[in-house]
Amino acid sequence: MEAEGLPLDRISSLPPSIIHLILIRMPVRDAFRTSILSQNWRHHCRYIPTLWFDNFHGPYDETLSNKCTMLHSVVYPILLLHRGPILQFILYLYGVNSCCEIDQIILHLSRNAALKDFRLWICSGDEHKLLPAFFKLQELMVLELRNCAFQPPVTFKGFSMLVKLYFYEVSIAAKDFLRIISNCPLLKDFTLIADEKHLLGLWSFNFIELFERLPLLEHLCMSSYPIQCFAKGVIRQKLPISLGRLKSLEFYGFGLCFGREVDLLSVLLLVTSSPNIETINMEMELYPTEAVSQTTMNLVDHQDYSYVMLDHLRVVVISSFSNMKTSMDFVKLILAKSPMLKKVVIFINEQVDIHGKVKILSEMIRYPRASAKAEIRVY
Amino acid sequence: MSEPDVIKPEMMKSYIWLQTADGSIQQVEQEVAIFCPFICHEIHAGMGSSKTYPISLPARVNPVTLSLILDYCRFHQVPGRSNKERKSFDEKFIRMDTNRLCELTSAADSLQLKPLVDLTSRALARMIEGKTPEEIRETFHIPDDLTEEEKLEPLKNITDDPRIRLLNRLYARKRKELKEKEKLKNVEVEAEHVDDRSVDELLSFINGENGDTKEVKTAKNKKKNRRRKDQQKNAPPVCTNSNTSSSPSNGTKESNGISSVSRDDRVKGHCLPNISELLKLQDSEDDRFALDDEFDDCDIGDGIDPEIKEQIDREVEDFARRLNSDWPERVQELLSLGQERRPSLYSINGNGCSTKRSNASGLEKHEK
Repeated sequence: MEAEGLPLDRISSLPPSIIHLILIRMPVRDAFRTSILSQNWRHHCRYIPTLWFDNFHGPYDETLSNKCTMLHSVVYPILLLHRGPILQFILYLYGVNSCCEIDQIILHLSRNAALKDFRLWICSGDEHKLLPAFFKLQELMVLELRNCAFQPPVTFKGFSMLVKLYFYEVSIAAKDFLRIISNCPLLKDFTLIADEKHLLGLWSFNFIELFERLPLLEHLCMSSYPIQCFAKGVIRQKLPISLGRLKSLEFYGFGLCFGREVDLLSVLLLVTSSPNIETINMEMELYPTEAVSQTTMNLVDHQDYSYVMLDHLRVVVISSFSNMKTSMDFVKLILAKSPMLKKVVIFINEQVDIHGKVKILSEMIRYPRASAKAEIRVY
Repeated sequence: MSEPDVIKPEMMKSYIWLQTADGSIQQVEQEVAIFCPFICHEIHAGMGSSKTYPISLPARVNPVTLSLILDYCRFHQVPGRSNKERKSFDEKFIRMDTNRLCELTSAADSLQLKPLVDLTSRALARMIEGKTPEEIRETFHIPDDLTEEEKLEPLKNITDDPRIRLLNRLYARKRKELKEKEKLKNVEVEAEHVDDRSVDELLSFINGENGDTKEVKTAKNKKKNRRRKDQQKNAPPVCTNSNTSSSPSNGTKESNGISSVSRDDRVKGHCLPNISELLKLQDSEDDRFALDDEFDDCDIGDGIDPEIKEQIDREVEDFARRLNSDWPERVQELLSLGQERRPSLYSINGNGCSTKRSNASGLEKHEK
C-alpha cells in the first residue's frame, strides 16, 4: 500500500476540478474523510463547491436526528473548515426542528453571494422563519424550501436568476408570491405544494397571470389547493395562451380528487393547453364524489375537447386511482388523444376491492388508443 | 447508405485522423468522434481531415483510453437507443480497474466529454464513499504520507458518531495534558500516568452509562480525583511486566472485538481509523473541539443505549488491539494498563502496577 513506484496512484494526480466532481457525489462526511488519505488529499475537500447534508433520504440514522449531532457536529465543523465559494448548499433535515442554528447557517451562507442552489427541508416541527438576510442571495438559481415561512422584506425584488422553485408547505402571502413570480422570467421548474394554511392573503390571480409571467416554464407541480386557487375564474375557458414549453405536469401531494369538479376541470385545462406536454404524473384521492355536472362526463366526445391533440405525450402515471367514472373518462381521453403515448402506469388505490379492479381493467382494455405502442400497466 | 450500391459503404462515412500524445495516429469515423466536443471544435477549425493534419489530442489521452472513449461515443451517438440500454451499457462500461478509470476520467475531461466524466466520477465516488481511509488507500494505491499530527487535525474530525465525538474530546484533553507534562518532567513516566487515567475514565465513563448509576458517580469522582492527582503530580513507576499480562487479556479482548465487528461492521469501519489516528499524537488544535462541558450527562444521553455502550467497550478494546500494531510501545502499554486498572482506580495512588490483578473482574464487567 505504501510502496512507491509499484502501483501508481492515479487518482491523486487528477486535476482538482475532477476531484471535486468526485467528492460532491458522496455524502459530505465521506468527502471530508478523504482529507486524511494523503498529503495530496488534505485540502481538496475544503474547496468542494457543493455541501449536501441529508438525513432525510436513505436509511434512518438515529444519531443524526438529534439537532446537536446533525448541526453541531456535522454541519458546523464542515462549514467552518470549508474554503472557497459554496455554490450549492443542501440541507435536508428529518427529525430536527427549526432552530436558531439554522438561522446562523443561513446568515453565514448569505454572506457568500455566489450561492446558486439553496435547499432547506425541515420535515418536522414548526415552520422556520427565514431571515431577511436570506433574501439577499440574488444569484440563486435553485431554491427549495420545505416547512418555512417566506416573509421577504419590503426591498425584496425577487430572485431574478431563478430556474427552479420548490415550495413545499411554505407559508407565503399572496403579495410576496406575486413579487417572486413577477421577477423570475427564467423559471423552468415550479413546484407549489401547499394547503389553505400556507397560502395567506387573498389569492386573486389565476393561471393566466401565472403563465404569463413564466414563459419558459417546463415543469409544473401543484397540489390540489393551489390549483383551486389559480383555477378560479378560468375554469371553463380555454387558456388564451398556449403553454408551448410545458413538458411535464405533476399533480401531487394532498391529493387531487376527480370527484371534485374543479380538480378535474383544472387538470384538463392545463393538459389541454399544453400541446407539447410529455409527462403527466398524478396522485389522486379517493373521496366520495360530489355531483358532477353532465358537461364533464364523456370527455372524449365532448365538444370542448375534440380539438385536443397531445402529440408529445409519452408517459402518464396515476397513483391512487379509483374506478370513478370521471377518472376512467380521463384515461379514456388520454388514450384517445395521444399518438405518441408509450406508457401508462396506473396504481390502483388499495381501498378498491378486487371487483372494482377487474372492472377497471376490463373497461380500460376496450378504450380506443391512438398510439399502437401504448403500454398500460396497472398495479 | 442505401443509394450507392456501386461505391463501397465505407466510402460514405467520413473519417478523421486523431493523434495521441505518443505520436500514434489513428482513423476514426467522423460521426463517432464528433461526439467529443473537443474533437468537434477541432474539426470545425479545419483539422483532422487527412493523415498529415491529424487532430492532436490532449496529453492526457493515451491510445488505450482513446479506444475506450471511442467505444463509449460509438454506442451513445446512436440516437435510437432507449435509456435502459444506455444505462446498462454504462454500467458494464465502467467495470475496469481503478487506475484505468482515473485515466479515463482525466481523458474524458480533457476532451470535454461531460457525460463520460459524470459517469466515471460517479463510479469513483462510489468506490470512496463509505470506506475507511485504509481501504481507500488500498483501492487507489495512495501513499500514506501524512504525519500523525496531520492526521489529527480537526480537518478530519467530522465523524458521524457521537460516541466518537466524545472519545475524540476525551483524548484531546488528555493529549493536552500530556503535552504539558512533557514539557515539565520525565516524559515516559508522567505521560503514561496521565494517559492511563484518560482511558480508564473513558471506559468507565462509557461503561457507567450502562445503567449503573454507581459507576457514573465513580466516573465523575475519578475525574475529580484525577485533577487532584495531576496537581500533586503523582506518578507511579512504569510497569514493564504489564506487557505480559496484557497479552492474555488482549486475547479475550480480541475475540470480543471480533464479535463486535461482525455485529456492526459499519460502525467499526467508521470508528476505528479515527480513534487510532487520534491516539497517535497530541495536537493542540484538537482542543478547539474539547469542550469543557464534555462530561455532561446529557451529552451521553444522545440516544445511546446500554447495548451500544457495551459495543463501544468492546470496540475500544479492539482499538487497543489494532493500535498495538501501529503505536509506539509506550502507548500500547498505556492502553492495556488502563483497561486493567479500570475498576481499581482509587487504589492507584502511587501503587500502579500492584492492582493489575483486578483486571479479570474489570474485563468481565466489560464483556457482559
